[in-house]
Amino acid sequence: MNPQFTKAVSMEWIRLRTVRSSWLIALLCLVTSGGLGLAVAIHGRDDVGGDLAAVVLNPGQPAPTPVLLGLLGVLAWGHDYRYGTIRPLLTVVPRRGVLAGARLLVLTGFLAAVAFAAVVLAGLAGVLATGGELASSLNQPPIPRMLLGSVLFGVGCGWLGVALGALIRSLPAAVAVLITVPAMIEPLGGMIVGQIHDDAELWLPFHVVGQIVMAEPVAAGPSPAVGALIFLGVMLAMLALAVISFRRRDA
Amino acid sequence: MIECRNLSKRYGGRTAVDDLSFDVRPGVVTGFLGPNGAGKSTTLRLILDLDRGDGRTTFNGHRFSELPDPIRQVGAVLEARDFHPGRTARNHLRMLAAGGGIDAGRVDDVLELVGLAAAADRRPGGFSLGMGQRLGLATALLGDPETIILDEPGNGLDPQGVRWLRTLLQGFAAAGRTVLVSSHQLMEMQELADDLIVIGKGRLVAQGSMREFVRRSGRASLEEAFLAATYEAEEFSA
Repeated sequence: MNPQFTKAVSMEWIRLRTVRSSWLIALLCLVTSGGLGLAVAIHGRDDVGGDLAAVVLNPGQPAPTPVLLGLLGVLAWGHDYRYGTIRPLLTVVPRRGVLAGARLLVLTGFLAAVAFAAVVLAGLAGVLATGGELASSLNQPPIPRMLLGSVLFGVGCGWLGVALGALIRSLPAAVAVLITVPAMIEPLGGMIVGQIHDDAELWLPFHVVGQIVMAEPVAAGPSPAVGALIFLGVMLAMLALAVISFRRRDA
Repeated sequence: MIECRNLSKRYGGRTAVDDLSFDVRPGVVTGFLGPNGAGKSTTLRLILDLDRGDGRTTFNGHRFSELPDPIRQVGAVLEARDFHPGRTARNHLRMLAAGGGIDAGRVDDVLELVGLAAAADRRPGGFSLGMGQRLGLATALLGDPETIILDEPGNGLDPQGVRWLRTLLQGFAAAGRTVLVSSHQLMEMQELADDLIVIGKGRLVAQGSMREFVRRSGRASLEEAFLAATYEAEEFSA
């Protein structure tokens, strides 16, 4: 591996783990995911089975973990512009592609680890609340697919946050866009495209993600694998835009 | 040796830096002067490839972004408070040291050098401007670089700090290193600098020895010589 890249990865890991907001958001992901899993399992423990396991892993949208990981992504890049730390970082690692690559690698690892821990904690909470009964349902389809989907959803939202933090210099504006795109803008867009072509809205990024995190995907929509590709593809395209902008703009 | 050639930068319809060329030689302290809005900070950002503009700057023949070990070649501070307020001073420096492949032990050395050892584990959000300047200086000194570039490093420093900084920078220059310092404090600059680069409205006004600059102006001090030289180039006058 390029030695500059290795050093940049080391720098980015220290950067991420030496601010409290990273750990506070990670802790919130675990607490909310585990807490929701526990609450749902206690509520439904009279009827333990695959349906309860699915609800424990995905109690409904908007789920807290993807939103929180999106926020983590915004802060992970946006703080550098807000506090000016981008300047000392670029005087140490002036090759912007190297810095951006190292940052994305470190953040993706962190996002995936937190998203995975959150969904595992939800499952464990469900198992505890049902006295172990739920354990046998957790390795039955579609639970493994939902588990993987939850991790991909969390990582994708984190990527979107990173992209918005890099593209929009105002942190509040970046956070506002992060919240309004899936909650308002895409549903409005879905209403329009749905008028043009039946079920077209099912192919929009925050609709297709339902195909991988829901127990029963919508039959008229894409398959879970295609849904994952569309969602991650759009988020990667946003990241690519952010990196292109970062390489061209003033620091 | 820093060689700047034809640096230019426009913001929309406004020209901040206009075809600026100059050299900064090693072994002396070079002061970088200009009225408010003259383009000093923009020029320093162009030199370090932080801003995108036209022209070319090289450090001993290499562009900044192409230096194999930038932290050991160039140390720079452009803003006194370029740090996350919640990351401790030590962690801020550890982060940058890791990026430059500098041994973590060097962090405590530079904290000691700039007088921040006692505040190493404090979050700098509560630092005074002077303490922020010292943390910035620690950043610049981390790689023990051949070239130092500082923008208004004396702002917020107490008189002892100003004297310490002057001694430090003159010591750097005496060791054959390249030192470029931007400042509005002309009295201090008269004590500190050997060479001057003076700009106004983004253009070069004067370059060369400070003593020669003052002598040619026929004035008694750097302040008077500077005011006379930049009278026409004042962007934001009172």
